[in-house]
Amino acid sequence: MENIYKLFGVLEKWKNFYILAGVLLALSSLIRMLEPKILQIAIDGVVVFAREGTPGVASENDFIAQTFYSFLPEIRMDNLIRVLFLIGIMFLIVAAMQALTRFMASAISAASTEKSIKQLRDRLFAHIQALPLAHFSKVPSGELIQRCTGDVDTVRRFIGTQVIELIRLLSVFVGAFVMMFMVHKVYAIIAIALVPLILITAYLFFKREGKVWQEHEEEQDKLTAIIQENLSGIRVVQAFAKEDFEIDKFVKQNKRKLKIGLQHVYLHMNFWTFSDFLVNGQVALSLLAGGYFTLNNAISVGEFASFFTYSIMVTWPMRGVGRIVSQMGMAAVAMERISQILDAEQEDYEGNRVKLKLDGDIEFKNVYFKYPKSDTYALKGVSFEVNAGHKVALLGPAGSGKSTIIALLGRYYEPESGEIILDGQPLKNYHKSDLRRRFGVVHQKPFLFSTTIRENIAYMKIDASDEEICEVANAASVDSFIEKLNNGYETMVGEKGVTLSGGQKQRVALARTLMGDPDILVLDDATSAVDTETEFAIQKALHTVMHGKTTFIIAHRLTSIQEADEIIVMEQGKIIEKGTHDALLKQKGFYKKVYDLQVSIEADIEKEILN
Amino acid sequence: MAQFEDRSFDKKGALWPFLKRIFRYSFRYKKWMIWFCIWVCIVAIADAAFPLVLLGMLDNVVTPQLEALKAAMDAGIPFEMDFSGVWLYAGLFLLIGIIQIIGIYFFIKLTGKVQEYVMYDLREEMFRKLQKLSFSFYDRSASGWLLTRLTSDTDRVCEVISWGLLDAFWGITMIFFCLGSMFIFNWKLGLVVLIAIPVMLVASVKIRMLVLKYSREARKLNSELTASFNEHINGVEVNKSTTQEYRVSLLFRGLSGRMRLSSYRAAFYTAMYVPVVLLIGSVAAAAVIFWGGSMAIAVSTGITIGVLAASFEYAMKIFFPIVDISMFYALAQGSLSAGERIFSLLDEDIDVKNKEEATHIGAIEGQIEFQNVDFHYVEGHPVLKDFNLNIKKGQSIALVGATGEGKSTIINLVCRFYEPTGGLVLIDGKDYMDHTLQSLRSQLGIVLQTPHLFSGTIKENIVYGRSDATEKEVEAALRLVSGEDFLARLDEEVGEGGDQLSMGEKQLISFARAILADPKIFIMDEATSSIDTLTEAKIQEGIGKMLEGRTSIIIAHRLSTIKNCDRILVISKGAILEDGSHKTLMKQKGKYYQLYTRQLRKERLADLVG
Repeated sequence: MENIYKLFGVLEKWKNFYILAGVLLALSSLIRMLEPKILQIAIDGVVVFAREGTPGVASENDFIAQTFYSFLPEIRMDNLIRVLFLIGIMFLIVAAMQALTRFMASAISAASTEKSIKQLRDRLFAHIQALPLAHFSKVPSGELIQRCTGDVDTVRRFIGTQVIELIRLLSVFVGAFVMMFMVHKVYAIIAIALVPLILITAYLFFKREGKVWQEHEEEQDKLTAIIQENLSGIRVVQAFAKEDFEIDKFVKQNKRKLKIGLQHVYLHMNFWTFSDFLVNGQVALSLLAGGYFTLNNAISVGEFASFFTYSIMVTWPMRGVGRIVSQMGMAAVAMERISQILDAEQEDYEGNRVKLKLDGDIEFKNVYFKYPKSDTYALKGVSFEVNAGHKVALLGPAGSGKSTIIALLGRYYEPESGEIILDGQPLKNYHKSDLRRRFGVVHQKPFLFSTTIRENIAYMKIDASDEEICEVANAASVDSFIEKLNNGYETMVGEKGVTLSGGQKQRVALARTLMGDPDILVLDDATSAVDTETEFAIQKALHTVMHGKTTFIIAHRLTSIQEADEIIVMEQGKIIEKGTHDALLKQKGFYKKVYDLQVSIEADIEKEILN
Repeated sequence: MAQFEDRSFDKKGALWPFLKRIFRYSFRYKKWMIWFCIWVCIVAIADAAFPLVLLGMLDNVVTPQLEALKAAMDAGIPFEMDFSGVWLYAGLFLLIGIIQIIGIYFFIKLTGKVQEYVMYDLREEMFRKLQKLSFSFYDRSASGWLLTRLTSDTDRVCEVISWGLLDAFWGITMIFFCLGSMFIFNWKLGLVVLIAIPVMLVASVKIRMLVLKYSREARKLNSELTASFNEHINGVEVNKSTTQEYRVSLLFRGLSGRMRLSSYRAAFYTAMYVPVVLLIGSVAAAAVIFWGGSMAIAVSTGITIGVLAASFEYAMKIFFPIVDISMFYALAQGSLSAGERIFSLLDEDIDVKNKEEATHIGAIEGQIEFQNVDFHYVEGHPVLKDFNLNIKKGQSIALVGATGEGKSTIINLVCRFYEPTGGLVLIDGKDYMDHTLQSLRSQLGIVLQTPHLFSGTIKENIVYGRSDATEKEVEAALRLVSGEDFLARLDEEVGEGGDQLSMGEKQLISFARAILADPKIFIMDEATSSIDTLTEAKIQEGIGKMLEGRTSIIIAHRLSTIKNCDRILVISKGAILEDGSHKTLMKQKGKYYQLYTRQLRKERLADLVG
């Protein structure tokens, strides 16, 4: 029930329009009920009158027929053609009203559905963007996407189609029943005798059908998986001349899919046959009863003719109702899954929006931290100080805590204890957006968007001029490979474009970061895939761009670390050595060991080449 | 460069050829189709006959009985009402209903069967074709696009020939019989309905096409919407670190706004559809009331009440077949592009295929010769020109040089993934074009750059090239590639595409797979570039043994792999720049010397980071 409430909650401020649409739709179905009435009047009031001279009268309960009669002039033998013409016009007016209300109802419901679904999508998108990073490790991204697309669609179908259709079907049923009931109670009840049976069969069938369809989808998915695997491995298949083997594998699954497909067909075949039998049986029953009542003079000939139409109207919708009701359950599940996203707490960007420019004085004071869902500390009592404008290198094996320091600096996570001070103020005082805006982070495996290289570079400054783009592209050595691409900066990358190499991606990502003109730059193994010469060029360029700004470097090659003002060596969440290159060499610790190893290798190389 | 853009198929006048071609598939099941048509006719006749029962009951039972009653009452004699007629007609109705139900039973069965079988056939035909298409085709097609042809495109097209056809055929027969019975009873009223039909049909198709247009647009936007969610959920970290969360959310609003508009438009025209078509039908029904009523009261032409009521029923009923026919038209139009995508795949030329008189190449020894070979991927951009190379049986060859200079092309030509555009490639002195592809390839051992495994166990993957291999042979192959670790894990599932394993493990298995068949020619295309150093070191151990007694062609970055080859060829701009052993080339101090020293430094540094 709560879910139903939530489902309609999606409509928000368009709720009233939606209700209006529902009312109009019900109205439209009721107007439709007038159409057979008019035929009835034409028969009873005019044709039978002309033949037998008995004026047609509406039964006392049938106020609708009475109303129609009251619109017509007194029917006399000499004005029959005129009356018929008026009846024709009346019929047209009713039909037009029916059409108009129905159209309006559908259009209004579509407008309010689409508007509210758009709003739901926007809310989801914005909400997801504002979720803390930790959330994304909890829910796989594929699952999130599925909820934002498939589940939203299910909700959309529920509001936009299923509920509307249900209103229409039910109002047709109720309308037709009432019309008959007003004229003849017993007949009306006979006319719906089999209806509950039709409703229940349809409901049960569509429940069952849903299950078979699920199985069908599973077989289809397996088939898709086989094709997909074959296509991505087609070169191996051909290299090993295993085409026939693959075809056999495919044919087997294709047969299984065929089998379940046929099973699905047979299920439908049996259901429709049975339910059509019930429907036809119901109409035949009505016909029989109608004949009796007419001959007993309980109803008029015209009423009998109109009853025939009503009894069809009353039976047909029931199968549809069964179908819709059986499918509606899906919407509640989908809504539940959507709500889970929307209920997840957003990242709190708290903090004052004070500083627009950072100096880059950083201090870690005895910081402890562990990732959510993890038992071990990623940082254990880390303390260090960085002066504004200094270049700091972080060294250490994977998992030693280097990237965690960076993540804490951007406030993607908060330390468990200890404090981080930036420019003399606790980091907590900074608004997250301001903070991150001033931090430039380049990762080892950067994410690029599937758009042009230009748009990727200008991601933080969408209106960047060509000169600005060229400038950062130059510094990041993007320009050197751009020239080889057919469309230059307008080349699409990703799925529908060019696949860039790891080094090329890193360079584009660096350019993107530089575009933001960061006060603090973090290079997290950011040029590892770039060849040596290009890396050197990048370093030189960065030297100019980042002059006087705090820079963090995480790298493996000592050559790129040596010039740092401070080198921090980490192991298992702790700082084990700290100091300049020269100071660390004197300490004869970890750093010295690594350094010596590198020097010895250089000597090795020389030797090998000479041999 | 890969061409991912799909051709556009929505040209005018394509509908008929498309339908003709697709119906050829359903007429493979001629017997079912004929019975299908018969049953659909029967159902349509039954549908058209229902109002006649009403007519009969009104005219033959109710009216005469009531008149008789009135006459009797006027005359003051008691009248015994005869209800047998009522039973007769209600029974008749039920009888027709039962016939109709039998028809429905069979036509659903037959339609469903034809649909499923044609789907089955189409998919299989496409899959077979895909196995035959050459590398050149796969170079320019994204596999995702190909996949949809076998799945959703096939589903769409088959709907046209099954339920679509059903709608159309039922619609046409239904109109035919409704009009027929109207004309029999009163041709004037029949004419009224007849005139309404084309009007309804035109309006119906016009609106349907508008719906189609906007729902197509909405579908396209919907996939953009999904792509956008995909991008910004996977790239959320970038958005946060560049503080673009708000901006991208705004951008998304623009997209979802366009989506809203086109979905709304599609819904708007859908909303318009039924009312408009029904309204036109109502005009006809009103005309029937007026003229029919006039005729009923005029003594001379006097039509019966039954005819009037039935005509009214028909006028209202004619709406359904119109809806169905236009549904078929829209369905066919909507799946036109899916159909053309399918047929363009089936019609695709196969570049590399067996000649008609091709024979088995026989057991090969391993000598390879390129004689004046020309080759280009794209006309006008030659990759190899008058290329000559002779590789002796058992010799190991390393190809070095920058990307795009023609190394992989040489390998592709040896494997006959591509064929030379000029000149000859000889295996053991025989032109390989005279022999079958499969006989050559099954005797090659090939390891490609990115290892690809198939879902199944590790063992199943190793024996992929030779399913009759014994346990011992599998073990020997694994030992040869230093993959002993896998001996205990042979029955482990590798997951889809080998997802459960690391890149290195996958490549090790693909080495074992290639070596298992004891190929005379062994080919490695950058096979070690995508794996971690640890695995590489392992493979390295075995590589010497692997190459023993085989002709091998290797493209590699790793120096130790190259160094130990009998011959090293430096390839530049499709020609052999340097040719000799490691020692000779190092002495020459040419291109190889440069490449080697640079690579050595890089490798050593990388080792350190390890």
